[in-house]
Amino acid sequence: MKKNNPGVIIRNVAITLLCVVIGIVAAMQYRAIVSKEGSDQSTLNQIADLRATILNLNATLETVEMEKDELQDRLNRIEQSSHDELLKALQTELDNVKLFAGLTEVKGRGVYVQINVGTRTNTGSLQNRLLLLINELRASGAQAISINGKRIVAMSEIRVVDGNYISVHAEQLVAPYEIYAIGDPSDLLNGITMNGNGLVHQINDLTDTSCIWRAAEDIVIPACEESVINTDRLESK
Amino acid sequence: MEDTKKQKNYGQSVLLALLFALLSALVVSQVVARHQSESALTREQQEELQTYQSEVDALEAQIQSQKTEINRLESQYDMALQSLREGNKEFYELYKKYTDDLDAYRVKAGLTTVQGSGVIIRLDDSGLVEGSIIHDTYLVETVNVLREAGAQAISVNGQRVLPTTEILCLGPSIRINGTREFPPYHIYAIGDPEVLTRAYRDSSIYKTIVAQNLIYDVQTSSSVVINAYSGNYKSLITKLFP
Repeated sequence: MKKNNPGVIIRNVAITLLCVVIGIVAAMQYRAIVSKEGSDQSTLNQIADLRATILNLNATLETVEMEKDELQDRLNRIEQSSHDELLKALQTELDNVKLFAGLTEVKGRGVYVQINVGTRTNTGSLQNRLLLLINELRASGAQAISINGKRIVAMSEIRVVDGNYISVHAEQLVAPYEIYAIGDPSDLLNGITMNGNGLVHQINDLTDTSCIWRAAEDIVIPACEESVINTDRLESK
Repeated sequence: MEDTKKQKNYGQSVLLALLFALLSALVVSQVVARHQSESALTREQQEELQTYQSEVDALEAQIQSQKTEINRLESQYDMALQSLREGNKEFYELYKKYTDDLDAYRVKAGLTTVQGSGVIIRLDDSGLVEGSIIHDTYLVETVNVLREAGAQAISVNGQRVLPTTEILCLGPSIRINGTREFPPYHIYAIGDPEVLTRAYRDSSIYKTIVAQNLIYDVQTSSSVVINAYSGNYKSLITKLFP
């Protein structure tokens, strides 16, 4: 009765078409999302790479500029200065470089910290706090630091071996540990005390460990032995 | 009866027509939206890429011009040395001794760019674990382990480790030589690559970093380049008196 009704056929065809179109649209949409995600990621990677390159190039530019300035200075001096002036300028610069490297005995004002340990002092905790204490002194403007008379320079390691001694430049230093730092005394004290929550307090709070600290005048910090600073593996670039 | 059937057919056709209209509207709006958002995104990113790329080009050009200038100064300096040697041999020898001395101590002081075999360690915040980040103390301990293993030069994100170098937490960044550095942190060290790697992998700080699910990578290299300190070292010896 109903089977050859053209209206029904048209409707069926229309519904089929609709389904097909919806399928195609959905597929297109899916592909678009997938490909867009891919392109976004590669663009983001490119941007991150470029940023890192820029940081590196900036650092390189700074060092190249510094190299150029030094060369210019040296050239100016050799061309314009008298022999005496030339040698005097070189000597002054050498003295400054040695002073900076830690190869000269230095005097100044700053702080004194003393750490006393006992048999139950935790080695790992003391190691960590001692490193952070030295780091905090540096952050507060310390320009020279010593532990038990050993000058702490750029490549100085500080290793807490056990409760009884620590090792600096592969030499054993026995407790109590006496630290001197030259810098602005109040900056240094503020840095290590932090209104009662500083590293000196943290060290004082360690089991079987005590710490005292104070500002100090007339500090003398010895030079680092030259043999401690090795450069045999460093080639000039 | 006929009327009702006709009415039903009519209703269904209207429904179909509406569906079609809805679908076409959907398709058009999606195509338009997709086109707009895609072009906006890529345009923005393209612009960013281009900005960075031109910055890279400009920096490379600047470096190149500085290097050309250095070459020019070097040949000028060589000529000056030459005439010094010809004019006064004795003074030339003395001058040479002073400058050689100075150059050697500048290496010891970390004031020159150096290269050699060593390791490159990369540390980054965990992308997976909330709050699992690289703390200043991890860098302080890592640097200490490398010193203990005989490193002769170290840098963190291009900052040379000096006698005065601090590594201090500053919000999401870390302050090194007074400069803010952000993760990832690249620690370069020149020394025996095997000794440095073994010491680091055996250290307690390495175990902590692994346990914290932080991102880390330790690579040996036959040519690690460590930059000179680029700041003014004279500002770091103002409170020291011989």
